[in-house]
Amino acid sequence: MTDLNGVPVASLEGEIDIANAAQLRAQLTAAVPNTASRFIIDLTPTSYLDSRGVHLILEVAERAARGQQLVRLVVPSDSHVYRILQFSRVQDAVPIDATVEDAVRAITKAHP
Amino acid sequence: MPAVTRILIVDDDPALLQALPETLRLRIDGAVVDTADSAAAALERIKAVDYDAVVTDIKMPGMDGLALLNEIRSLRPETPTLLITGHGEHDLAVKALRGGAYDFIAKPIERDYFAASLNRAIRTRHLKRELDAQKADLEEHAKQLERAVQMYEREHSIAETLQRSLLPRRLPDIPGITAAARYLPATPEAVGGDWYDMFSLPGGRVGVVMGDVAGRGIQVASLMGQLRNALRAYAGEGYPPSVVLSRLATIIEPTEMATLLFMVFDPSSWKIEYANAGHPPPLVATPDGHAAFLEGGSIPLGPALNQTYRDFTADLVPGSLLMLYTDGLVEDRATDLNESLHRLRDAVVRSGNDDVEHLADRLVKEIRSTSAGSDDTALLILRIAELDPSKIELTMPAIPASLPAIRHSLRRWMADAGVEADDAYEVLVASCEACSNVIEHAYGLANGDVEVYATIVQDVIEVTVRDRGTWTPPRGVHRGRGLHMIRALVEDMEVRQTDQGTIVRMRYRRRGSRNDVDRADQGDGSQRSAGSVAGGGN
Repeated sequence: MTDLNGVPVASLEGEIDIANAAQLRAQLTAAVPNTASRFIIDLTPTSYLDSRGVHLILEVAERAARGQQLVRLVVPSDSHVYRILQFSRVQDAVPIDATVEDAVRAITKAHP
Repeated sequence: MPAVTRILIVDDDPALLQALPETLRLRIDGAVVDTADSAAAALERIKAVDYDAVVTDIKMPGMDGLALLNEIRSLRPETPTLLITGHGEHDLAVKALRGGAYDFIAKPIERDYFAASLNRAIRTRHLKRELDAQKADLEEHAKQLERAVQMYEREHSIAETLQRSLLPRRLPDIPGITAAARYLPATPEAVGGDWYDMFSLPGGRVGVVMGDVAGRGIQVASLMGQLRNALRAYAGEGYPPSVVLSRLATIIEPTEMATLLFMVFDPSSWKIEYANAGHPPPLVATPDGHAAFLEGGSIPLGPALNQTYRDFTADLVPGSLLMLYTDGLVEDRATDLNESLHRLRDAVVRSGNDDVEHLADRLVKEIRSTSAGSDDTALLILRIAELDPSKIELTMPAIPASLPAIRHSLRRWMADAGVEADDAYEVLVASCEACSNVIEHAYGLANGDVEVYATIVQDVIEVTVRDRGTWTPPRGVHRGRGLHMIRALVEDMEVRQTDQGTIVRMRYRRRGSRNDVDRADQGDGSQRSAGSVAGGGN
């Protein structure tokens, strides 16, 4: 969990499957305070992700929407993970940016 | 003899009660003499004090000496009782002896005889007491021994359970590798610290371990468990064998000792990297009939603090056999170690390209026929073959932890077969979606396996994932999304339910060969723009 220009950024490293999805969700929920008005999930270092990962992202997005928190996802558009997210139309629920800088810029503009 | 000898004199004659104690004190070492002037008073005292001897007049008003003797016999059967009889009362004396009196003293009392008889009675009494004490000690000792035996048996069974639970119940199914393992305790009672392990590592590499913790029992088994788990953890983080061993050297106490061999096989380079902490050298046999021990290593873990280890490498060729073992296989008091090693090497060479299970059985039989094997013996044999680039078969326990291993195997196989990264990734996700479903839904709480068969025929990669369980009715979003994902990724998918489980078959066509406009690329374009619109809109 890092902070970029006052925006919390949670990076998910390695592989996400049923073996660790629940654990990652717990870590993510603990890392992002309910008081944060916005945050970014960075999937750049994620090497593998399947439907459990998709489910994890959608759950976090749903939670954020209920708490009126803004959330953006960072995934390089040429990555394999990006393609998997597209199949599940994750971008309909969470806006996706190619870099953390893009995401920070967009989220700061929306909610200065 | 105890320092104090307690004697009770019972008589209704005050003169005698006055005179006798003094007589006894002079003639018997450490005598402490009590007196009672009636049988009733005497009984009170006898109940309270365990006298070394009682002397009683036979004729007394109220309860007489014979009646008192009777009472003493039932109250304190071990207390010798002497009776004083009147002159010429021969019949009474006989009665007294028959009634269990130790002796009788006739009046007028002959003092030296009296003292001698009393001394004998007291000595007998003391000896009996000592015997009783020794008998009680022996019984206590026997009980302690019995408890110790029970504890040992319990400890042994815990140690055995622990040790067995640390050995892999089944070696992992790693494509290209057939492996056989054996563990032979020296005697059924002995549980040693031998263990072996084999596991997948990131990048398709394979870790192989053989270790031996010195000693027996629970502590040894638990140290073995610590080493095993720490080794897996360090190895999983990608440290080379030398670093893994150097780290393990810091968790073992200087009073403990373990030999340990850790090898990592990298299928992409056909190199094996290893570090050895005082363990017997592993044997490598190539298919052309050459066999050699891999030398190189350092002292065992434990005795030296901050011991560091270094890595050695060896090249393998397809079809090579790798054998790891503990010293029980080669150490035999009667035979020179070098000779044992030669014999082992010859046995492996003779086996040629025999099945590893057969070879393991044969080696075990040979150990048992010689005097080797007086120590525990563990044996792990691997035959490492080239992967058939056209197909792969995997059987793994249906648990989440199997997924990374399945991914490693499929990745390695597809990389070897020249499948491009983009295709490989999609096949990987589709296959693992199907495997995840099996893991979550096929067996309920029971144990079972997930089986994966995959083939490449020209431009089509076909993956079949099957289970032998009863597919529970679809529920929850996960499973729906998983199947949706598979459909999005592959050209064609078929789910077939049979009495023996469910079969999911997926056909994937490689990108370069797709006749139509590439489905995925088309999706890419439209969806990426959707993403950026969403981004710009905020």
